[in-house]
Amino acid sequence: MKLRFIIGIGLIVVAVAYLAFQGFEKGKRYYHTCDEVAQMGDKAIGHPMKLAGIVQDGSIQRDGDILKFVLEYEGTHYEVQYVGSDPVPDTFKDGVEAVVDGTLDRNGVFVGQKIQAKCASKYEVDYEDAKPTAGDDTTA
Amino acid sequence: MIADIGNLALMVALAFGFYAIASSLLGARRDDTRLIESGQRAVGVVFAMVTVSIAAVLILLLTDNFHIAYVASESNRDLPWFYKVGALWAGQAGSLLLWTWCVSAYAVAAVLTQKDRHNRLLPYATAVMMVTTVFFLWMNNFSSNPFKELMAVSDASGLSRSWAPADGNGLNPLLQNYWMVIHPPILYIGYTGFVVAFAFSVAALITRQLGSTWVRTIRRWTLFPWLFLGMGIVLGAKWSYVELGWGGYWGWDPVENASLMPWLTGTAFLHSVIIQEKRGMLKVWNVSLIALTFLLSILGTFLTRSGIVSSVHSFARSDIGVPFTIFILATLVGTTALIIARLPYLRSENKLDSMISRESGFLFNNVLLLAIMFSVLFGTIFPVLSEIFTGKNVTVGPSYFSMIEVPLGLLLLFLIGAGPLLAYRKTSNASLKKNFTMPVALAVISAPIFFLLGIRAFWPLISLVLSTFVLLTIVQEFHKGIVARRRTLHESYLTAMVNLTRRNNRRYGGYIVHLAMVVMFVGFTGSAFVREGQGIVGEGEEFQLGHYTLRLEEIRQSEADPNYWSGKLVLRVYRNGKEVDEIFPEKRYYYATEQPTSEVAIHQNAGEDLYVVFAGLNEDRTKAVVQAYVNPLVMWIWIGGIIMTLGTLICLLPPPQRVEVKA
Repeated sequence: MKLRFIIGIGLIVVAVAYLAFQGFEKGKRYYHTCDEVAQMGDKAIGHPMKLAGIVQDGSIQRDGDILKFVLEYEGTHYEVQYVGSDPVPDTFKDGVEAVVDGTLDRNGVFVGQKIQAKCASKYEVDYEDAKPTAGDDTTA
Repeated sequence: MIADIGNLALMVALAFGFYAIASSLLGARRDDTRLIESGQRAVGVVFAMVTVSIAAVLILLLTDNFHIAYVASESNRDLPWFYKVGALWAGQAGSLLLWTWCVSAYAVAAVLTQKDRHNRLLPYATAVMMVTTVFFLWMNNFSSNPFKELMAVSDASGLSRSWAPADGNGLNPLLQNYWMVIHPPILYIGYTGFVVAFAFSVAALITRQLGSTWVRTIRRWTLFPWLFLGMGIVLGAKWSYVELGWGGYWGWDPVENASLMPWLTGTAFLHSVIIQEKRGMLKVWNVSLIALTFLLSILGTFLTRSGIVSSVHSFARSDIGVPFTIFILATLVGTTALIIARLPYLRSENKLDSMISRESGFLFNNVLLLAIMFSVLFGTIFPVLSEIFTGKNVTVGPSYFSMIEVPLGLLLLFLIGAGPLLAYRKTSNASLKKNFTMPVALAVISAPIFFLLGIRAFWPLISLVLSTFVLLTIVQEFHKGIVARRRTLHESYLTAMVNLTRRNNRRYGGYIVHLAMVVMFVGFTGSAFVREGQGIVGEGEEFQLGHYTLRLEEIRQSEADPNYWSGKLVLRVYRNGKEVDEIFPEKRYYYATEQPTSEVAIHQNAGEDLYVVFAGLNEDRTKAVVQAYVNPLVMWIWIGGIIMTLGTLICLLPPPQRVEVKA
């Protein structure tokens, strides 16, 4: 009796492990900043990944259905073409940290399917370094 | 002044927390009732003091005291008052304080309800609950203090002085939503509540009183937080759906996963504990499950609040990461050691007789729930582990989760239907035939019907057929009980149903929760048939999505609210050419946080939601960019949430009196 249970549970575990492995291979995305991608050279082309950087000021343009902008990090920058169907997040604008899910094509343009911009739970502002300015109440 | 009172209260609470631990343990050791009772009174003091400090934070928020860093970073003057209250749980320091408050409230409730039972477990359980409280109080005091003042070096004297900005930074606009205001506290009532069940199981292990007393004591203490955790998850999904504007309600986000994991193990526990009550089996498994559920609740808070999931670097900078890690590891090691030390007392009184029995049904249900939990856990923390150990930053996308959780979830759905039909010990062939024939036959017949109705994809078809099967098993169970009652008591069908449920509330309440799961699965199935489209339309123009036509009547701009600028679309909705609704998707720009948000408009009916987002204006600002989704069956998820709540409340009803009054 016990043996049959162990076999039954074993089967479930093996099936789950198999599914997990398959799903993992499909779902995993390496996360790279622009400068890291530049260092990878041609190896970066064609692999699905997440590209992270800062949205360059004034670079956001809408061209029909495609949204174009430039991501930069540590002096390296990539032109991004967003072709995904979801609306871009509300937080997406000039100067924010953004992460784009997609692939780098042969011309060095990053084709994105999904955009994330600085997320809500990271929202808290660090007041440690903030300084009072004119108009603030400095009476203790 | 108010902040000082709050701070003082936190210190006093910490001191009394330590006292309660020491006094309870010493009292239990020496069998000294006075010490034990003194420890219990100290629990009351802790709760009172934490309540005072919560009140202090609320007063500071409501009076716009921007000298306090927490108030300055989470609120602003023009925020409506209920969002100022909600700011209590918008940030780390405030939400951890709310956590402490919930834990200490549970401790008081447990002490008050168990006190008169001369329960030998209570002093140890009190100590465990207070250790947890003290841990959180420690962070409230020293790591994440909500009363910290903004300090700046002022003028030439070089002294640090308190200062306040003219206005606060403002509440994150994504949190300015009714669902968001109620969902975190409900989730916290869920998370924190498992502390009671955990404390009583640790007490049972310590005292070696591992009979059925502690199991009966904690069943309700598990069911109650389980209900709130479930409601919190559903409300969180609702918030995500109506506020985030991406068209979905669940994205396998770490924060969502964090709340799902303890719910899964809690669900496993609620089932397997029945086997322990009825057959004296699975004891080690049950104490492990409750410990795991408690640990996952703590882990959930940690994942949500330390920032570790967004990046390991923000974790390193956060003040709460290290204490949390130590607490989780210490609890894990301590509980494991205690369970191993008590293994001889946890022997099973019976063994499994048959593969096709209620016991094995529960066992497989548990294995599945744990498999789901571990796969979710893996996907959630793998990125963190990868970054720590290999330095490689990798994420695991939703496709991982859907690949694995869809088949496992459907297997579980099958067991929801099949499990209750199996008999204890061994199910005879005759009973198998009697219970399974009707549901299986009708479910098989339903398959081609769904196929003809256009459900052609594999998983959705399986899901609907299984839902049919489970629904029928539940109907059959109710019908069987009702017929039996009517035979002896001559009640009407409806009266019999009500009385049946009332007299066996745990069993039939459980079936109602099962029904809720079926309804939700039907809702989830709709996600396979989502359609989306985009229209760039000027006033008077229209665009098409499926059988809907959306006609833009007007773009309305308004600065009436002091808190935000608003741009609203007036959209007329036609379904198959007939006007059905007028909806108003909105784009807001919040002044304080300088952040835009989208307020989604939803035209809802039982079959599908038309979900519309105002994505912005086009380049020359004459046309509106409108993103629209047709999301089938979403309403059934919320209905399922309501049914789940009702079913669990029925389970929580006090046991009925056994005196039968014949009518």
